[in-house]
Amino acid sequence: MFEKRMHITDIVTSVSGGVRSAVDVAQEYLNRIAERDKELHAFLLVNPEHALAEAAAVDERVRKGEEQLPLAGVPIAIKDNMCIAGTVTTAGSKMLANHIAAYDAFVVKKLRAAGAVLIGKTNMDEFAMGSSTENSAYGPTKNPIDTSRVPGGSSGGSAAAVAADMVPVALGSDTGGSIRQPAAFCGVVGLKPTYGSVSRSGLIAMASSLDQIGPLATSVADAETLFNVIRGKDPKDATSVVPRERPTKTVGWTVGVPKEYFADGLDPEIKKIIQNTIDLLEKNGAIIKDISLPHSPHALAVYYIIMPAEVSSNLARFDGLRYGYFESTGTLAGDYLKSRSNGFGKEARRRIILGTHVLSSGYYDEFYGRAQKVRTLIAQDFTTAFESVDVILTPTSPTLPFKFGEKTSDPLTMYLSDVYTVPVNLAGVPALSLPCGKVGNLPVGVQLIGKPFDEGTLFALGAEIERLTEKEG
Amino acid sequence: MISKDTIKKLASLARLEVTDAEVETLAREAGSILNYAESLNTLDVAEVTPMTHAELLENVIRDDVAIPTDEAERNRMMSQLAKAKDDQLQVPNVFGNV
Repeated sequence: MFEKRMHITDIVTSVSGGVRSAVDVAQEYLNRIAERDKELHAFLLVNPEHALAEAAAVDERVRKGEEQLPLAGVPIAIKDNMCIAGTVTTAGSKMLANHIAAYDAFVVKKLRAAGAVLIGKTNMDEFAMGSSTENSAYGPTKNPIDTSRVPGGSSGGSAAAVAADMVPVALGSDTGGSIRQPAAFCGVVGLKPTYGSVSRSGLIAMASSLDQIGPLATSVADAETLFNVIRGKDPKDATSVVPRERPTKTVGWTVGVPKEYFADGLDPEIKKIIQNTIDLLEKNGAIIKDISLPHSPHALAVYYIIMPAEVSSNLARFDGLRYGYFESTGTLAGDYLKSRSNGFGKEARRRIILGTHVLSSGYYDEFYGRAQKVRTLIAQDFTTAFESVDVILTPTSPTLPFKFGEKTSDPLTMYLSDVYTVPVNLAGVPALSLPCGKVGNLPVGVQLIGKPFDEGTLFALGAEIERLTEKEG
Repeated sequence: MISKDTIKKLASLARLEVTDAEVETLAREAGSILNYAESLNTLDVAEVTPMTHAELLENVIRDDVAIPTDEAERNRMMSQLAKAKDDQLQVPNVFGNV
């Protein structure tokens, strides 16, 4: 469908080696965006002049030859909930339609230092709430593989931009699956890092104990390179940590297959593809072990209590006074009421109400307090499992990419899309989704869940699956 | 499972305006989500410590010294205030007409 994709090393080698200018590379991708995004609507903002100016600055740094630039000239798309100083940053909401980010997110600073070219901001479900990008206040994004279907969410724009080769790599954010599920739906690679690995400074917060920024790419190697650039302890994010060093396992993995993730609700066609991947690994030396994560069936319920609670707190800041959508009524109460009610979309209002309820006096212990305790049990399931396996393998999504409007009539139906991804955020462990096969032309993603700070092992096993799947296909 | 009165009270707490139709829909939807969460009541969590974060956290502190904000950053923030006066954010009277 598309001309041969460029990977990070292709671009960095040719730009650093003076074979091709960063300006030239940026222009090529800008042309593709101009051509393909009319239909797909993956981007909310593209500023060609800025992008080309940034690329020219990278060329100048290359010419001087004083620095190592691991992303020299690499165009990258950024989900629109991450702040780029001086640019409109909407979080997919009408509430922030005119919001100009005052400062760069930590990850954006890291990308700039590495020589990346920030090419545009991508579409997303409003405030990262959704699994299809249908909740964007700016219209949905189409799945490049089948434009009658959703790209997944909430990082649908980033996933579609990478899948359509409008950019070689992108950043997304993941609170309950929002990088991994769109990666699976669009046939690309997506990583949710260990909680605390990547700074959330400059990421418009959804649920502070669950959010992580991560890479989307067309290869495991690119996802790894991008992850290594953006990670790091940041004094401005009190939850960011110095990663614990872990020896990476590069061969002879023991792979745990949790029975709870292969039960009712999983599309049988997806089950077949995932089983095929498991068989391939076993044939090639991996040890497959049946395991149980017994509290998994409760994870979605825990998530849809804890996440809205944190959302209701994080979205309290949006009152229009300091930035964002503002309606003046003459009284403070009226200003708050109008600005918030007319700035937020339906899903945001729904989750704020739910969150306010589970935190309110009289209900706190019954809902939020209890959910926090079950969260401990879910996290313990993983700790216990990892005593006997290196990686846990599951499907990323219970369904294939669905059609527009298919799951929007009842919120719970949409929430069930996240059933395999949310336990990972609750436990804070890392997880990688990568394509492992197709049903017809629709991609299927396999999820690899790892020990805290063991992304290296995930990348190693992911690369092996890539190799085996390519050999087979 | 959630009454319409509760929804109205929650909306007020969250500073959200809801129409009567929305109150009904929200009561139904929030109710169904909380029904789904009933399964959590079957678990014995009496001896379990609640988990708030993946890592144990310590407060990050620094010396109590004013650090000037970068000027460009400051200008971007100030230019977006809904109402400003004398380089300050102006808000309606907090105690009147609430």
